This record gives sequence, C-alpha cells and structure tokens, in this order.
Amino acid sequence: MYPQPTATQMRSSLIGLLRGLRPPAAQTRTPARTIFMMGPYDPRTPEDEEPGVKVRVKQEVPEEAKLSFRQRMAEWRARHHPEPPACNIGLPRSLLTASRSEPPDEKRQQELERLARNQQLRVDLDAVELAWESERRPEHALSAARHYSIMEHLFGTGCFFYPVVPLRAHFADPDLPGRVRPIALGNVMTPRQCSEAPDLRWQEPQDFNSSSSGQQQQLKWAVLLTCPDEHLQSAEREYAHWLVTDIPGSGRVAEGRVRLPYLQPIPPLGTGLHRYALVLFVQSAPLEDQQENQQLAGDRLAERDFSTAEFYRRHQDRLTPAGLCFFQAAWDPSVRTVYRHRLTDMGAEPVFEFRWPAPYRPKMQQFAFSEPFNLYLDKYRDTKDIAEETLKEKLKSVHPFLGRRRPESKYPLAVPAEGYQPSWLKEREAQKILRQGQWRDLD
Amino acid sequence: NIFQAALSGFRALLCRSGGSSCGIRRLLCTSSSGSGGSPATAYPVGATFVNRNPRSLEYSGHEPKPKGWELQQPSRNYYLKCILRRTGSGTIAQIVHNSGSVVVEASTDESAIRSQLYSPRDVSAARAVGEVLARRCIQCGIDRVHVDQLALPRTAERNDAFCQALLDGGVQLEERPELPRPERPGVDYDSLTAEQRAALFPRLVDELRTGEDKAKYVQYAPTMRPARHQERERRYQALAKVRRGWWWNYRHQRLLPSPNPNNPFARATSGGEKSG
Repeated sequence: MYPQPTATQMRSSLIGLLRGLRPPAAQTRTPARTIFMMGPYDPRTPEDEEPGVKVRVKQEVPEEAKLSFRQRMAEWRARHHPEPPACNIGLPRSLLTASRSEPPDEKRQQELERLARNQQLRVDLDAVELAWESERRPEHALSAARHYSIMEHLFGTGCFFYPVVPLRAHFADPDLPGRVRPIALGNVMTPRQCSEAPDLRWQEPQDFNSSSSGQQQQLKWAVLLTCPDEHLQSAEREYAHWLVTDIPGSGRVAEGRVRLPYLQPIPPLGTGLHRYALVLFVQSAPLEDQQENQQLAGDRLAERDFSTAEFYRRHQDRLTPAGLCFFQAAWDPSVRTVYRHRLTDMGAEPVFEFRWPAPYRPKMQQFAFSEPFNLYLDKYRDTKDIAEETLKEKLKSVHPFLGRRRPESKYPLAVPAEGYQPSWLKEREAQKILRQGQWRDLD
Repeated sequence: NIFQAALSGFRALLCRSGGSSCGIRRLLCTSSSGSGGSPATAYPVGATFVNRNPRSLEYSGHEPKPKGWELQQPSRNYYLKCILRRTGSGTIAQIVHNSGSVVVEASTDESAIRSQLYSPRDVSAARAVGEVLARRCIQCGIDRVHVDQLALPRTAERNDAFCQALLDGGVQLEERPELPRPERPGVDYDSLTAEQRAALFPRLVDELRTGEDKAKYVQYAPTMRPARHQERERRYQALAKVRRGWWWNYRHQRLLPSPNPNNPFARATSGGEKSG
C-alpha cells in the first residue's frame, strides 16, 4: 500500500538516529570540570558549551526535603488533626508519697553478685507491685486508659486525670469459693465472674481530711461503674452499672447511698469485648440534684442510660476523679439470663453479627481494558440481585413439598458439562460446586 | 470520599441479624427479636450496634494490621510489639502499639526493681524486667505481642531470658494473623446515601450533560486500537492531521496540508491534484 523507504533513505535516517545518541568524534573527550548527571536529564551536550572554566551552581535542597518523614508527618498531623488542649480534671500528683530506696550494703551486694553470676537472681514481684502502686501506677494507668480511649469516651476529648489514689477492687468468683478476680487496667473477665458487686479498698492520701482552710468539711467518696460500649441505641451514651455516693471511707461502700444498684456486665452476643470502668470520685459536698436524688431500682435498662461527661459536668464543683481501674468482658450465658429475667423492659437478648465494611470500588469504566468482563461486572452488581440469584439456584435443588435437597453426584467437579461452555462459564460452575464467592450461602 | 469515611467509621460496625442489608442471611437464618416485654414498656434496640472499644477488633482479628511495611525494617505488621532496650544506665522494656504509643512499660529505673538487682544491664536484669512486664501485660489485658526476631534474637542470653520470662508470665510472643476478609462480589447500593452513590457510580447521562467534551479523549476498544507502539503512534499522528484538514494525495501517496489554512476542509476548486 505505502511506498517502501529506499536504501539511501534508511541509511540517512539511521545516521540521524545515531547522531542524536553519540557526540561527533572530534569532541569525544569532555572538559575536566564538567559534571554530568546534574539533577534531571540535562539536554545540553558538552559540544554546546564554550571552552573555559565553569562554576557549577550547587543545587539547593528543596524545603520539603529538609525534614525527615517523621517531622513531616508530625507537621501534617498538627495541621489536619490538631490535638485538643489537655485538661487535667483530677487530683494533683503531689499527694503521693514516694518511697525512699535504702543504699545497698556490701554484704547484700556480694550476695546479689553471686546470684547474678549463677543466673539464680529472682525479683520479688509482689514487692515491685506494691512500690509501683504508689510510685508509677498513676502514669501507667493513664497510658493504659489512653490506649483503651477511656478518658476520651468517659469525660470528653482533651480531659484526663491521673488516678492518684490506688484503688484495689476484686470480684469474688461465684463458682470457685475463695478465688478472687482483681480488676486491673483492662484485664479480660467473664460476666459470670462479675455477678456480684466488687469489693473496693483504696488508700486515702495522708493530708486528706485536714482542714487547711479552717472549714469542717468531711470529704466523702463516690464510686461509679460504667460501660461506654454497651448502649443498644446510641454509640455516644453509656450504661451505668453501679453508682454509690456519700461513702465515708475506704472499704465502707455499704454505708454509702446507692443511687443505682449493681448490675453485672451484659455485653450482647456478637459484639466483642466491652470496657467497664470503675471510677472513684472525691466528693466534697452532697450531690443536690433531682435526677440523682431518686433511688432507682435499676431493673429497667432505660434507667441506666448514662453519660459520665454530663454527670461530671453537672457536679464538677463537688466531684473530682481520684482513682480508676477497668476491665473488659465479652458475652457468656449469664448475660442471657439477665436480659430475659432481670431486666423488665427487655424480653429476649439482642444478638448481633459482624458486618465487614464495604470494599472500595473505583468508578466504573465504560471500557475496562484487561479486565475479565464477568468479574468486572459482578463487582458492580447489586448485592440484592446476587442474593436473589443464589437463592433461586438453591431452590432448584430443594423439593417443593418435602424440602429435601436433591443429592449431588459424588465427584461433581470431575463430570464435564455437555456441549461447549466458554471458559468463564466453566469457572462459574466450578465456583458453584465449591461454594466460593457469591455461592458461599448455597447450603 | 466514601473510602475515607469508611475507614474512619470502621469501629466494629455490627448489623443485627435480620437487618435490611444482610442479603441472603435475612432469608435463610432465624433472627431473634431484641425488644421484649409489653409493647408499651419495650426498650427499643437499634438495628446497628457500634462498639467503641478500640481494642475489641484487634482482639478478634477483624482490625486490619498496617500494610505496606514489608520492605521496611522494622516493619509495622502487628498490633502490639515488644521492645527491649539497653541504655547506659539500665534496661527498658516496652509494649508499643503500631500507632507509636507506649502501652505498658517496665524498666530498671524503678527503684523497686533496681534495688533487687546487682547490675541493671545484665541477663538477670533482662529476666526481671521481663517478669514484671509480663505481669503488667496480663493486668492490661494483653496476652499476645509481636516480637521482632531481628531486633531480639533469642541466640543472645539476655534476649532469651527476657523472652522466656514473658512466656512464663503468660504472654505469647506471636500474634494471631488478622482474619481474612470474605470476598463478596457486588455493591450494597442501599447502604449508600444519594451523594455517595452519585460520587461513586454516576449515571452516564449526568456525566454527558455536565462533563466536558470527551471526544478528544476517546479511548478505542482494544480490537480497534493498534497494539504495537509504533503503529499506534503513526496512526494517531495521521488521524490528528486528517482532523486538521490534511488530505490524502493518491498520486504521491502522501498526506498533504490543505491549501487553504483558513478553511482547511474546503475542496480545491482550481485545477490541481485530486483529493482522495
């Protein structure tokens, strides 16, 4: 159709092609001070430059490249996700007394050296925990609480407090008499182990009830057990499991005023681990509030609807959070009993099932090059249509009156189909037999 | 962007079995009703339940681990990692989340540990710090941590003592892999709002009405489009010239520019070459 290039034309085009790649033979040697590879591709060849000494300008590093990745991420985070101003709503750290370590004596040092040399040195963990409670526990408790987002979800963004007062709480195991289950900083327990109200003890700070201002005010305590994850309607609300105020001192919770009687954890089936936070407040004055003054029976779930942030903001002049411990729990059969029999406004227990988030699908193209058309179109079909197709396929093998399934052949994948089948149809039939993809629910 | 919205809202979104968007499950399984009692006092239960506990999905394996760090050292393919650092004055052990925050810590800086040790940097110190860290992990509800084999090789006595102390304390040294996401075809259009649907899956009619002229970006179907690069270039150059008014001279077998640049598509009236 088209005329072919002549031999001379080909030779001249080849020479022209090569001329672009290689400099002429006369000036193949480059000047001594020329620097190749200065930044991006430099189209100038050495023959274009005039002879002489050239001063190369040093390329400046761009501003974006002067910072490391971490610094740039910190800048980006500060710009797009600025942290709210932190607000400490708890007691000051100076209330704690630090233990003084004794200087080691020589005999003990020799003994320690001998044990360390023979790999027999073991540390007393209970002594370490005792010292930790008074020294490091507030910071560690705060970092654990931040890890579980307890501060943020209970008191609001930015608010936090150091759990200065060491709070020791434990449940008595109803199935194993004598066995106690302590509440720590997020340990996992079963609701059955938490059937009864926990035993609470805390260490009052030394200058706690000293009347420095001259006023005779007896400081009391309040205890709140709340779960920010259990609410069946709104994710922003909590259920209060226990609220006792006007407690005179450590271990005397029974002498306090019970606003909400204790209810064991009730995480619904299929919803995972829930957090249960036990907060100890210092109460400087009686809580005068109509809502709190009524003694609720606590048999209805609607009465336990709670928000710690709102509760604290209402009484922030009288309450100060001082101690914290929390645990986690998931469903077990005792929860069913509570929903069915103890809570009067719930008949049956709610059951849930995990739903994966929708996968990302880019905008559908009119011509999807290099994509198998059946898989591409299936990505954008409505799930209702796919489910309908699966159901109809299932019903083909179900007897209309007896409900029996038609038995499949023993080796269905080994039986070839009659006639010609395109490859995509063969794969679809194989997926049906193997119950893959949309055919997962065929049985 | 719906993708970002899905990621930020991905906190254990659970749907009630019997809900509207479960598809086949709605028809083939038995659903339990949540609200009981008399209708007047029944407590309404929402169709979807959200668990705000940020660690619940990590415990069950539904939370995805950070991806893309396979060629980096150290990688971040974990939920919680254990670090053992030896400074000039002591040993520090930390449990660190993949976001960078320190969750649990034990070090020989604490006087209670240091007073019971001979040296703050030797094997016994590492073992002691491991025992204390294991106890604090169980208290914090952590029973599985990731240990980087390159950073903490158990061939060293210190690291081996530390890892053994963690194991004896009840902390496993490898995490469970995350749950594989079930591959389900299709899109649940009912769960999208009108704006999301318009952004992701716009109708062709709306695009044609509102968009720019797409004729210059026409993509030819593969059967019509030459595969080889040189052939494709040549054909597209010729097509661009024809659109500008160049014409095929049959006698000389060449594309020639139009004689009238103002009106390139006008035919040459005076005697000359035939236009092909």
